[in-house]
Amino acid sequence: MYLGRVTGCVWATARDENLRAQKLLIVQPLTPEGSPTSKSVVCTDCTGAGTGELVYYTRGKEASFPFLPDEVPTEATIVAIIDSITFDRNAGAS
Amino acid sequence: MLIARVIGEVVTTRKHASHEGRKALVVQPLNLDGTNRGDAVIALDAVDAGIGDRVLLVMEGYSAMTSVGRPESPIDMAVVGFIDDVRFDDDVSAGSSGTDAGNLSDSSLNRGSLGSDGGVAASAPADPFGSSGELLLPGVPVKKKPNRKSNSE
Repeated sequence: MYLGRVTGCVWATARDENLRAQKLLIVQPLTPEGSPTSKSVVCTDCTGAGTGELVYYTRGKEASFPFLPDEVPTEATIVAIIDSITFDRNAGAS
Repeated sequence: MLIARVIGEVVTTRKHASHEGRKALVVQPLNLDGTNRGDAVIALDAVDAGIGDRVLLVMEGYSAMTSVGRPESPIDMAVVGFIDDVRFDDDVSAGSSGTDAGNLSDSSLNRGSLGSDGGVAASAPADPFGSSGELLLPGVPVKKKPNRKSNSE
């Protein structure tokens, strides 16, 4: 899964039948330090995340599994809203 | 599978039900020389790894889901093993780096000796897949276990 921050949302009035119930959010991928790593992606959401929240999202076929039995044509889905991150870049380095 | 190091943990309260009860680790994939390989990612923990451990990381959905024991769930990365030691065969790897991968798959699973990470490895379970076995949901094949042990990959 990839770390990111929700920076906006997308409205699309004409979309696939199975995508119709989904909220689409723009997510900026981040490093643990909080700096942007690559270009933003559009994600579906199974957590109720909103703009500004730190989240992690899954990519690939797995992104559609939260919506089963609906077969939602998505390749990125937010699966958790992050409360806090603790990390140490030098952990275990010898 | 990639070699990686656990550098942190993520605390979440609102998450998909399949992520409940499993640690979400911040994991930095590594090159064979120990330098960073791309960006850090978040992987669910299948072997009770902790910060500082050098681990095996799967970055593919099916293997991640089955190792965590949550089939058909939105999980695309998991930590599936501790690495005790990685050895290179000099006469194979000296010429080209392209042969490193095959060499690595044999030696990285060698749990017989402790490398520089001996302190970390000492706390590792003898068979990490055994410890996660009882958490598998009904219907999930457990037959992975012998495959992993036989170094068939």
